[in-house]
Amino acid sequence: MPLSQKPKWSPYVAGMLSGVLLTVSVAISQIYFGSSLGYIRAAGLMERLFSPAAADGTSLYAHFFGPASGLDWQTVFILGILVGSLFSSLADGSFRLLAVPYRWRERFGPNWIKRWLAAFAGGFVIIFGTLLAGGCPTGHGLSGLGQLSASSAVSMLTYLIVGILAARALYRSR
Amino acid sequence: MKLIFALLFGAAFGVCLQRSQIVRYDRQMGLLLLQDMTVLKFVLSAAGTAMIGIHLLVMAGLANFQFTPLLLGGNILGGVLFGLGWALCGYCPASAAGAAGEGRLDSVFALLGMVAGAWAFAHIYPFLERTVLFKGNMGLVDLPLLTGASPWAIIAVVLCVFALVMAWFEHKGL
Repeated sequence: MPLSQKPKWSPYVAGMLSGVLLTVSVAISQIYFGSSLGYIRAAGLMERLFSPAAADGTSLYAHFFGPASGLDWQTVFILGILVGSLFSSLADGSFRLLAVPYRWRERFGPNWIKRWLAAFAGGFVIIFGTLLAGGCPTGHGLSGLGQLSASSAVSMLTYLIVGILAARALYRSR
Repeated sequence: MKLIFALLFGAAFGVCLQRSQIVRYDRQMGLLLLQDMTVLKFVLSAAGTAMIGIHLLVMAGLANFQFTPLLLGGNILGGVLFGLGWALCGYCPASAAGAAGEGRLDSVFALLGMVAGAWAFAHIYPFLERTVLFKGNMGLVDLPLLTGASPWAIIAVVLCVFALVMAWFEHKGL
C-alpha cells in the first residue's frame, strides 16, 4: 500500500529547500510566500465575471483590486504549485488520477460523492479560517514562523491542536 | 516579470511539496491522526531554515519583516475553523493545488470549496471586522518582543526543540 512507502525526497531536505526558496524570494523581491490571499483574488475575479456590480461593491475585493486588476503574485504562485507538482509527478511516474484517497477509503468507503462533498465543505471552512487568522500553513507556518511572529505561532498551534482533535473525532466515531 | 517569479517560485515549491508527498491526503491525515509525521518534519525544517535565512537578510539590511498583528479573536477563531476544515478536507490551501497537480480529483473539490469560502468571507468581512476579527488586538508583536530575548537566542532554542522533536519522531518511527 502506498501508505507504507517512503517519500521520494526526505521531508527534511524538501523542507530545507523550501526555506531556502522563501529566503531567496524575500532577498530578490521582498515577497513572502502565502497561499490564502490568492483565493480571495480568484473569488473576486470570478464574481466579477458574473456580477461586476456586486464584486466592485465588496470592500475586501476593493482592498486587493488595483486599477490594473488581474492575476496577482499570490494567485500565480498557487498556479505555480499546481504546475510544479504536475511536472514533478509526470517526471517520476507518481501522477495518478485518484477519486478517493486511501485513508478515506479505508475509513469511509469508496463513495466518490461523499468524499468530494467533504473536500468541498472542508475547503470552504479552511479558507474561511485562514483568512480570519491571517495566513495558512504556508503564510503562517513558513513565512510567519520564519519571522518569529507571535500571531503565526498562535495560529499554527491552534490549527494543529484543533485538527488533531477533530480528526480523532471523525475517525473514531461509530 | 514579477509574475514570472511567482510562477517559478510556486513551481519549485510545488516540486518540494510533491516529492516529499506532503500534498497527499494520506500524509496530512497521518499527521492529524498522529501516525505519520512527514508533514510536520517538512514544516519544521522549512520554518527553521527560513528563520535563519530571513533573520540574516534583515540583519544585513536586505529585507524587512512583514508579518500580521497578533489578533487573539481572529487567530484563535480562525485557527479553530481551520482545524475543523482540515480534518474534513485533508488538504491545506497550498497542498490542495499540489494534490490537483498530481491527479487527486478530490482536491479539485477542495479548491472549489476554498474559492467559495473566500467569496463568502469577502461578503461578510464588514461584519467580521466589526465583531470578532480585531478582538484582542495585541499589535505587531513577535517572539523577541514578547519574551525580551534576542532573536538569535530564540532561534537557537527553537532549532534545538525542533531537532529534539524530529529525533523523537525518528526514534518512534513516525
